[in-house]
Amino acid sequence: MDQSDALQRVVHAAISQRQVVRPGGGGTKEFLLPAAADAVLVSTAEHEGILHYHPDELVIRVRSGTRLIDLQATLSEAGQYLPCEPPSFGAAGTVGGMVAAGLAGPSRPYVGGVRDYVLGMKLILPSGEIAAFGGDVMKNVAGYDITRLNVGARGSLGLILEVALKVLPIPEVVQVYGLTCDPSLAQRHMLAQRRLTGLSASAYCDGELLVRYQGSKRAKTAFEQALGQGFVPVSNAGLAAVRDLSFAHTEHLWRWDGAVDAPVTGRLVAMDWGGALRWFASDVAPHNAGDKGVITWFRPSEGVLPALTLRADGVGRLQQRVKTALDANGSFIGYPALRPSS
Amino acid sequence: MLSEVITSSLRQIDDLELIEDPSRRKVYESDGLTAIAQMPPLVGLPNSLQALQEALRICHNHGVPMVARGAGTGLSGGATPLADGLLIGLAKFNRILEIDPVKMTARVEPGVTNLAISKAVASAGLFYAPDPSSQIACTIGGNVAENSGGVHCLKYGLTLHNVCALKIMLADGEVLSLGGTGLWEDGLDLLALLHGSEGLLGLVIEVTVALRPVPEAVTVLMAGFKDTNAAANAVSAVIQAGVLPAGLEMMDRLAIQAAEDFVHAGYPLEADALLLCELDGSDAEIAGLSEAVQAVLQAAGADSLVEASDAAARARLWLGRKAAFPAVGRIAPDYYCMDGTIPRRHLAEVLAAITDRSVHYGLPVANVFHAGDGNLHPLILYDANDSDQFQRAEAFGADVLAICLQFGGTITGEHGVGLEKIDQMCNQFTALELAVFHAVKSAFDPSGLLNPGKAIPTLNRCAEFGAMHVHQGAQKHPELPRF
Ligand SMILES: Cc1cc2nc3c(=O)[nH]c(=O)nc-3n(C[C@H](O)[C@H](O)[C@@H](O)COP(=O)(O)OP(=O)(O)OC[C@H]3O[C@@H](n4cnc5c(N)ncnc54)[C@H](O)[C@@H]3O)c2cc1C
Ligand SMILES: Cc1cc2nc3c(=O)[nH]c(=O)nc-3n(C[C@H](O)[C@H](O)[C@H](O)COP(=O)(O)OP(=O)(O)OC[C@H]3O[C@@H](n4cnc5c(N)ncnc54)[C@H](O)[C@@H]3O)c2cc1C
Repeated sequence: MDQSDALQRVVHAAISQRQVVRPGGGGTKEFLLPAAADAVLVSTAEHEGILHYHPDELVIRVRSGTRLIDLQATLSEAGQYLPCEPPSFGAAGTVGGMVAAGLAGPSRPYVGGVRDYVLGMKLILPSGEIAAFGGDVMKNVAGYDITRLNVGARGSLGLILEVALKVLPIPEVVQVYGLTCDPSLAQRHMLAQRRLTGLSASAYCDGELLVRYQGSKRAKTAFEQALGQGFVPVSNAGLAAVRDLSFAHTEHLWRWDGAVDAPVTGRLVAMDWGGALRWFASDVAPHNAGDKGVITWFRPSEGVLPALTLRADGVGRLQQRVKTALDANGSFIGYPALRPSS
Repeated sequence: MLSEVITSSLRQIDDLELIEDPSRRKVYESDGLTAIAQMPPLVGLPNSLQALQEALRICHNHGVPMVARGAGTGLSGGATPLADGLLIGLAKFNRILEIDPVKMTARVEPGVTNLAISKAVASAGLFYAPDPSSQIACTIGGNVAENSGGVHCLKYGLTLHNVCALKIMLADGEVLSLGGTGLWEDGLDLLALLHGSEGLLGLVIEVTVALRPVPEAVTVLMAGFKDTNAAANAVSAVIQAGVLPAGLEMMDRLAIQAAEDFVHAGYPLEADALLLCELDGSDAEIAGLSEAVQAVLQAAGADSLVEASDAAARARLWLGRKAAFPAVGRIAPDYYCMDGTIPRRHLAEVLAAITDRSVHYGLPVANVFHAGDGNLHPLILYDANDSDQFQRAEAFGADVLAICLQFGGTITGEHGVGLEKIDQMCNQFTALELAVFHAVKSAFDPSGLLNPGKAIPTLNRCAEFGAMHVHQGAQKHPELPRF
């Protein structure tokens, strides 16, 4: 049901009472916004529905409150899927939340992330007015890319009402292979296997390297041969656990984003993206891997929040200027502080 | 003109070649959109980042506008000089700084040409996927600024999807690295924002591109159809069959004939529409894939079907498509290349509407189409020496853009807005949306010195243009001239 008017009224009311707006969908990723507790939650949960879907054009447009699982069901009926493989943090997760959280699954290095599949957007701006950017077409360079700027912005630049997404045909075969090994051997394999045709995931968790093939039936044998000794077909469960971050941890969960060939160190919980994304569990921020990567906080333990800060470098300042330019009155929540304070 | 104070300060900079001689400056008076020319008062060709930074600072301190130029192949006037600004040529930054065969990336300076990247990494078994037809000349900096595409974008994406990191220089000389060393960076995605920003937000001074392994096997299918509708349906059928071709291009009769006359690619001259479908993958799968797609094309009514699997034969088929613009250039004194994208299901209606306008203006049109992603390039044939024809071509072009909007598309798929389509921006976006663009600009370039007057119209300009936005397409005055 179209709830645009109602959502707009709620946003206007919040603005007029000088309350800060926090857009929300299914609330499955609220852990992403630890500091936003006093903001007014404006939920898109009722604003759902598929607006149009043209499988032969590989484009779907949906309302932001559409459940991710409903979107996925519609796509799979037509033999298509969302290649960015967003994590499933439960059935309540919405398309708006997926886009605003910008979290991409294991296929990120091979087929792209959420931002690579978002074509257009309609949103309630921090002023309370409704605007549209991008469109329903694959190629569109009119105006700055406000659509992709909102991907991963965590609701800080407006409330997303609609999203147009590029989708792809489901590959003929999807098969995960596993190899039990230690992290450093896993990394050697990850680096050596980067060029395999059909590689669509390369992750490490619980002492097992997980490599996924997707493509045609015919090319699968060649992939298996190229993988080499020791790899055995396994179920999707391990990789799904990496995607959904369903690791057991009592400490804080931290992410590290950096170069695939940076040495593997520390109390590693998992590696994904061929080694470009690493998860660490620890009460204090893990030692930063220098210029080879950046540590950010991701998910709390039961304990107190660690001391976090906004990026203070030139890029961080420019990001702040962009936020201020688009939300001069600070009507919407800010992007959360994720960097450990040193 | 630039004041003597500024010119003489710029002369002091080491590693900055200044072009003051009018006959040498004239080379820079337009980009690929030759219909608009402006003699630059001064051209600076920095040879080091320090020289570039010093030049920017001088201009910034004196409020002198700046226009970046790569190879000047842009088709929308993005690199057209300003009467009172410095034109900054970045072509001297043409070094490949690092090739990392393990990470499959290359770090290059902005003036490196698109094709030079693929050439440099070929020996490592890699290539850079986005391949604009202008790839022997256009620069990677220009590609980022325009978010350029090419025939391989359906499968491999646009420039945006193939760039992992950028170094940019803001108007005041500040240098920033966007994109980090991994695949995600905390905060707003400014890396995405730079793509397609047409030199208005910052100068791209270094690009790290993602490379891909050269596919083991490649084959190209060419199918002739008796009408464009059948060809369009064939495109849908291929995608519906679950195949994602590396490239899927369409040409209409006039384009086929012009290309065939020019390069003798072996195109079917009796066809009204031609599809070129490139498939790639591993040795094990390519034959089966090709058979499957051939069956789909045949079922969709292809009258002729040719497969080219060896490199020379493939190159010959692609040559006709890649040379389509110059080929059309041979059959008319001038052509005006349009660049709208439409939802593909409306192709037949859009082509009919374009044909109707062609008759109305008495100017022939050839259509070249990135069919897989709905990006249409109608080429309007005219004679620029005939001012009436020139005006009709301009009006025709404006109508084509209006048609694209009417069918839910966009005024530019890959060539950018520049000066050319700045008025149509008033049709595609509301005043509110334009204000968002201006806000972004102000965050990057508060003094408004980078490429002012391009890409994003001022609200005043839109008011003067008179085409107030009508929501979701339906445009009020499609007949309005553009300038
Ligand atoms: C870092 C992180 C880790 C998480 N880990 C887990 C986990 O392990 N397990 C689990 O079950 N859940 C987890 N979550 C919960 C998370 O809330 C969901 O994953 C969520 O992203 C899925 O969509 P949602 O509709 O539930 O979004 P929400 O959780 O409601 O929102 C997610 C983010 O998107 C923004 N947002 C949502 N909708 C819109 C919109 N329409 N317009 C603009 N912004 C919007 C919100 O402001 C918020 O920043 C995590 C969240 C985060 C942020
Ligand atoms: C025959 C022909 C075929 C073409 N085919 C295609 C095609 O298939 N696909 C496609 O997408 N385009 C195509 N184009 C258009 C053009 O080649 C592209 O837009 C290209 O990216 C422009 O690159 P350039 O180096 O020539 O940039 P220029 O024309 O010099 O500049 C283009 C814009 O980018 C800005 N700019 C340039 N360098 C930088 C920098 N380093 N930092 C910041 N801003 C910068 C300029 O200010 C300007 O706004 C074609 C053009 C021609 C003439």
